[in-house]
Amino acid sequence: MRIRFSIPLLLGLAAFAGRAEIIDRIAVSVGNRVITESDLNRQIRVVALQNGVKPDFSPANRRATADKMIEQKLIERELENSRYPLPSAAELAPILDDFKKTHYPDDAAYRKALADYGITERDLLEVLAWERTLLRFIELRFESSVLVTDQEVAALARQNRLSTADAERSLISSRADQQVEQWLKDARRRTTIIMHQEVFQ
Amino acid sequence: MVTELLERPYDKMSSVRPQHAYLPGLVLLIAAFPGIIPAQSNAYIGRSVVNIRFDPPRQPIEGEELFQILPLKRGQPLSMDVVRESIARLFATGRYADIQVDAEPYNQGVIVTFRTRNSWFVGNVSAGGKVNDPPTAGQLVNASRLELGTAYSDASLDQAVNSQRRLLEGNGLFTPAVRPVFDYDDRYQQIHIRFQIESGRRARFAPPDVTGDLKVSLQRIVAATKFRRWIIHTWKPMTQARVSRGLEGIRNLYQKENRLEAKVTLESVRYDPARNAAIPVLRIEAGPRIQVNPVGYKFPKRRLQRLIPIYEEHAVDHDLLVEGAGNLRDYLQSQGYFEAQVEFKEQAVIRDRASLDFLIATGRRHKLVSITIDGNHYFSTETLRSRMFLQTANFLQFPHGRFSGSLLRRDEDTIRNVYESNGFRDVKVTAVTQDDYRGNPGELAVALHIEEGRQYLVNSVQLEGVEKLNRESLLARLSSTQGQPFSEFNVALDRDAILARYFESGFPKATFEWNSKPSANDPYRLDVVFKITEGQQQFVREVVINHQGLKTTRPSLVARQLQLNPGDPLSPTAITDTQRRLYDLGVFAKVDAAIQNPDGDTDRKYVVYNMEEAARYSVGVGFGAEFARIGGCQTCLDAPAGQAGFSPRVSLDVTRINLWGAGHTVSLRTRVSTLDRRALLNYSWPRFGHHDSLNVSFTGLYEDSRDVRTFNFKRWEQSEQLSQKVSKATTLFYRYTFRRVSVDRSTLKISPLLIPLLSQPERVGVLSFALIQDRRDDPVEPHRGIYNTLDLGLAEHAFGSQFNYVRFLARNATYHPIGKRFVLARSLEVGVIHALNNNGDPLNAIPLAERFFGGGNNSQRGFPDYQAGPRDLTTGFPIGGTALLFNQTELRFPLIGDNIGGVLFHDMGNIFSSIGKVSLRWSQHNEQDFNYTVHAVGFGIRYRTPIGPFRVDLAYSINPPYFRGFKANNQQDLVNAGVDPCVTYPAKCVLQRISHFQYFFSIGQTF
Repeated sequence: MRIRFSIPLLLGLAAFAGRAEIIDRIAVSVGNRVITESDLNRQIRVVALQNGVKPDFSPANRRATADKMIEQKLIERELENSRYPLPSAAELAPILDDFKKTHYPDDAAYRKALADYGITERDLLEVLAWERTLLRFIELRFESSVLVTDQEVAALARQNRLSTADAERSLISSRADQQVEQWLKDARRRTTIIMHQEVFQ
Repeated sequence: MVTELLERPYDKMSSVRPQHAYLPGLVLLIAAFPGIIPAQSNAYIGRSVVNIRFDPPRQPIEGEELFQILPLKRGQPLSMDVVRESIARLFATGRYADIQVDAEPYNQGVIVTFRTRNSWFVGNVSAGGKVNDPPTAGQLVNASRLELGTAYSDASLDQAVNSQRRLLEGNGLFTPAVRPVFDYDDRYQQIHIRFQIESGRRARFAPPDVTGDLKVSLQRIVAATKFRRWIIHTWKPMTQARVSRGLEGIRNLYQKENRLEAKVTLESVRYDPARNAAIPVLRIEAGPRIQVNPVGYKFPKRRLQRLIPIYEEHAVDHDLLVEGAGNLRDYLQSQGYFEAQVEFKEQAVIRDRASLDFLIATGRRHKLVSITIDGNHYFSTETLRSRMFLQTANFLQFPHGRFSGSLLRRDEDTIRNVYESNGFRDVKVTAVTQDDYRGNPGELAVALHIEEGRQYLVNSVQLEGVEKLNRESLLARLSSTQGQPFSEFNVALDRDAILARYFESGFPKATFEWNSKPSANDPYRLDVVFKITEGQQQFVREVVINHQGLKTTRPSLVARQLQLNPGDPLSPTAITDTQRRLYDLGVFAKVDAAIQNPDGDTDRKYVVYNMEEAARYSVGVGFGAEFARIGGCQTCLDAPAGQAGFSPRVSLDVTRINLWGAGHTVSLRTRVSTLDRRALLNYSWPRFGHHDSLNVSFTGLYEDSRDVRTFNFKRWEQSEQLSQKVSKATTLFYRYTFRRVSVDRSTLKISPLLIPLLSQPERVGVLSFALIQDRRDDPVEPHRGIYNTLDLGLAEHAFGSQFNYVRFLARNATYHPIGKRFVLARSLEVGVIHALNNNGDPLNAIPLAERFFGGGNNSQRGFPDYQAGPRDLTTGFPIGGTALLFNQTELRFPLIGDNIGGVLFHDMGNIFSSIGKVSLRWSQHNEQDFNYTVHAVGFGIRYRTPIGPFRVDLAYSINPPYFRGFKANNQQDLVNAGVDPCVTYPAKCVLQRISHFQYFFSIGQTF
C-alpha cells in the first residue's frame, strides 16, 4: 500500500474524520473460518479484564492472542464435526457469578470494569463459555482414553508428595495435554492458515 | 495487471480510494493521544445502516444469494457482532481471499462497504516444453497435485513445483527449469497453469556409494542393479523405473543367498554436474543367512516361497511368520490334511546362519465326501449350498474336496448372514464334522444344523424429516416395507437408496438415522422409523468448459453432451454421466470433472470440465495365425475336403479420429495372410443429425480371398450404413451395399464349362436391414441371457444388381446356468436365399460368391471351414447352397481351477441346395446327395485370457458326407476331361469322405 503523507493532509484530518473508516477486517483465516480484527481486540480486552491488567495491543501480544484463537477455531471445527455437546446457559450462569464475586465487590464495580475495558457482558460470557467448552473437549476427546498404571501413579505420588487421587489426576491431565498438543500440531498441518500481516503491524 | 493484483492486492483499491493512503496519518494522530485505547469503531455502533455496498461491485456470489447470506441488513442498527458474522459467512463461501468492512457516516446513519478480494480456484493444469520422457507430461501434471476446482494458493504452487522437481530428479533430470505460466479467468475465478519445463540432460548412473554390512562383493551388488549395460559396461541413463528395479535386483540377490532379513535402502542420489552423473547412495544391512525348513512335510521351493510372505516382503517378523504358518495350514487342508497343525520356531544366529523351522503335523489325509444341511425351511438346501465354499470331492477340480476350519467357519457365517438378512435374527447355525464317515477311514462328512427361529417382520415404516423430496418415491425404493422381513442388512440397503436419491438431487450433506421397536401387538413385528436430515440443497450455477484442452474439437460437440443445466440440482450422477458421454465421443484422452469450491458454504456451484484431446492418429500392427483344415494349394484339385494348414497373418491399421473437430473417424484396416488380403476404408459419423442413437458409416473394401476351398475371388465393395441404437440391448442397421465379385478362374475347382454362370464376374446391389439384440450378462463369456441376430437383404436391378434375390439369415442363442458351475449354451441359425423371377434351378440363379458357405469353427464343427453343403459332382469341391440350418449345443463347465474350462458339444446341420431340400434326415442316400443333416460331437478346452478364452475343439463327425472327386493336377486337366470327366477318366474319379475328426484352434467362445 502506497503511503502519502503531507501537512495539508494533517490539516484535513478533521474533514477526514467524516470519511470511510475500516471497522473490521480479517486478521487470520483458519480453513474456511476467520478471526477478524475485532475478534482479536475483543479477546485481548476480555483476557485483560480476567487478569486485571491493561490490555496490550502490541504486535507481539496480538500475534500470541491470534495463535491461541487459531487453536480455538481448530477445536471448534472438531467439535462441530463430531457433534460434541456444548455447555448450556444454565451451566455458564454460576461460572459468571463466581467470576463476578471473585473479582468485584459489587455489580456496579463489575459494570464499570466492563465499560472501562470496552466490552459487554456477552463478550465475557462467550470467553467463559469457550474455556468451559475446551475443558470438556479435552476431557471427552483425550482424557477419557488416557491409560495410567498403578505403578506410575504411585511413583508420581511419592515423588511429588501427592495423594493417589491427585497424582492420578495430574498424570492423566499431563498426558492428555501432550495428546492435545500433538492433535493441534496435526490439525494445523492439515489446515490452511493465513495471517494477514497488515493487521499485526 | 491481474498478476499485480494478486501480488499487491490493495494497490488497485488505494488508487481508487485515496483516503486509505491517509490512514497511517490517522493512526499517528490517534497514537498522539495515549489515553485512547483503539476503539471498536464506537462512533458507528448503533447507527442505522443506510446502505450496504460492495467493492468491487461485481461479486463472485450472485446478488440475491449474497444478500441472503449477509446478516447485515439495511435499516438495522450497526452492531459489531453482526459485522463479524457477515465477514465470517462471506468468507465461509470460499469465494473470498480477503474481506474488509468500511463504514462512513451518511446523514444520521452509516454506509457500510464490503471491500473484497476474490480467491482463485485451480482450472486447467498442463505441462509442456522440452520434457524428456520419462516422466511424461501427464505424470508431471499429476505430480503437481493441483486438483481441478480446489482452492489455489501460493503454497500449493510451491508444493507443486517442488513435487515436479523431485519427480524429475528421480528420473535423472537434475537441472530442470520449471516455470509456471498463468492464465486468469476472472469470470469463473479460475487460474489455469501451464508448467513450462525444460528438463535438461538426463544423468547417467555412476558407481553407487554403498555402505553397511554387505556380506557380498560390491561387484555382485552393482551387477544386480543392472545400472550398467551388459558386455559393453557403459552406464545407463537414470530413470525412476531403473532405480526401482535396481533395488529389487539387490534384494533378490540377497534372497538367493538366503539372507531373508536383508535391508536395502536408497538414502539419496548425489548428482555430479561435472560428469552429469547420478550416484545412488545405498545402505545395506545383509543380515544372517536364514534357512527355512518345513519339518514334517515336503514343499517344492517355489510353493514355499509363495506361501510364506517373508520372501515377498524381504523381511522376517512375527506377523509374517504367523501369516506364513496360516498359509501352510490352509494349503495342507486343501490337500486333504484337514487336521494339519503348523508352528514355527526361530533358532538363534550362529556364525551368520539361522534356521527357521516350520513344524508341521499333517494328521491323517481326509476326503470330504458329504455335506448335509438340516433344519432349513425358509431356504432350500440348493440355495444354501450354492453359497458355500466347502465342496465335496470330485474327480478333477477338488480330488479331496475343499475343506478347512476357516472355510467351515466362513460358510457358517455366510449361512447365518443369509438368514439374518431375511429377518431371522435369532438363527443358530452349528457345524458338526464326522470323521471316518460311515466307517470309511479318512472320509469326512460335515453336517450343518440350522435353528431358524422366528422371522422378524416389518410392521410399519415411518419416514421423518422428508421435506424437499417426494416421500412416496422414497418409500417405493425401500426394502423394508410392511410385511417384509426385517434386517439390518435391509436397513443398510434402504439407507444407501435414500441417501443416493438425496445425493442425486443435490443434497450432499443429507444424513440418515434409524431406530426400531417391537409393535404393541407382536414382538416379532417391528415399527421402523427412518430420520432424514436433508441439509441444504445445492444447485448448478453454471457448467464451465475449459477450452484450453480443445485444440481441434468443436465446442458445440462438447456442449451437446452436457447433461446439466444452470439451476439443476447438483447431482454427482449427472456430472459423471456427462463425463462418460464426453469419453464416449472417442476424441479425448482425459476428461476431468469437478465441482468448483466443493467445501464452500454456498448453494450454487460451478461444475467444471477439463479435457485433453487424444492423439489424432493411431497405428496398430498385429500378428496372428490360424491352424486348421485350410491347406492345399490354390490351383490343385486333389484335396476337396481340405488339408491341415497353417495360415500366418499380419495386419496394419491406421486411424484418424476427430475429423473436422466433429468426432468423425476415418480408418484404414489392412490384413495379409495366406488365406486372404484385404483393405477396408471406413468413415464413421457418430451421433448423426445430433441424435445419440444414430451412427452413419461409409465403407470401401477390397478383398482377395481364398477362404472358400472352391475358388479364389476378388471383391470390391462399398456400403453405406445407418445404425440405430433402439435400446441398450437392441441395435438396428440399415444398409446399402454394392459389390463386384470376380472369381479367379485359374483357381476355380469346378468346371467352367459345366456351370458358366458361376465363373462370370458379378455385380450385386443389396438393400438390407439387420437387427442385433444382445441380452447376455457378459459378451465374452456369457452365463445367462439371449443373443438374437436377423439379417434381411434384397438384391434388385433397381439397386444396380445383376441378380434379383432375397436373403434371410437369423440366429438365436440362449445361455442357461445349471447350478453354480455349468452353463448350457445353444444356438440355432437359419438362412435362405430366394431368387426372384426364377423358373430354373434355384441354385443356378444365385452366383457362387453370394451363396451360403458354412461349416467349421463357428457353425458346424463336423466340417472343416466352409466345407458344408452341396458339392460339385465332378471335382467334389463345395459349391454352397441357398438354405442353411445349423444348431449347436454346448455344456460349458470349469475344469481345472478358475482359468481352464471344458466344453462338451453337439453340432448338427448343413448347407442345403434349396429351402425345399432342407431335411433332418441323418443318412446320406448316395454320393450325390448332400441335403441331409450332419451330426458331430466333441470336446473342447477353454483357457481364459485377458482377451477372451483361447479355444481348442476336437470334433468327431458321426455321418460326414461321401462324395466323388476328380483327382486332377489343375483346371486344365479338368477342361481336357470334357463335360463328363469321370466317364473320360474313371480312374481319376475317386470316392472321398470328409474326415470324421476335425480340430480347431481359435480365440473366443464359439457363440
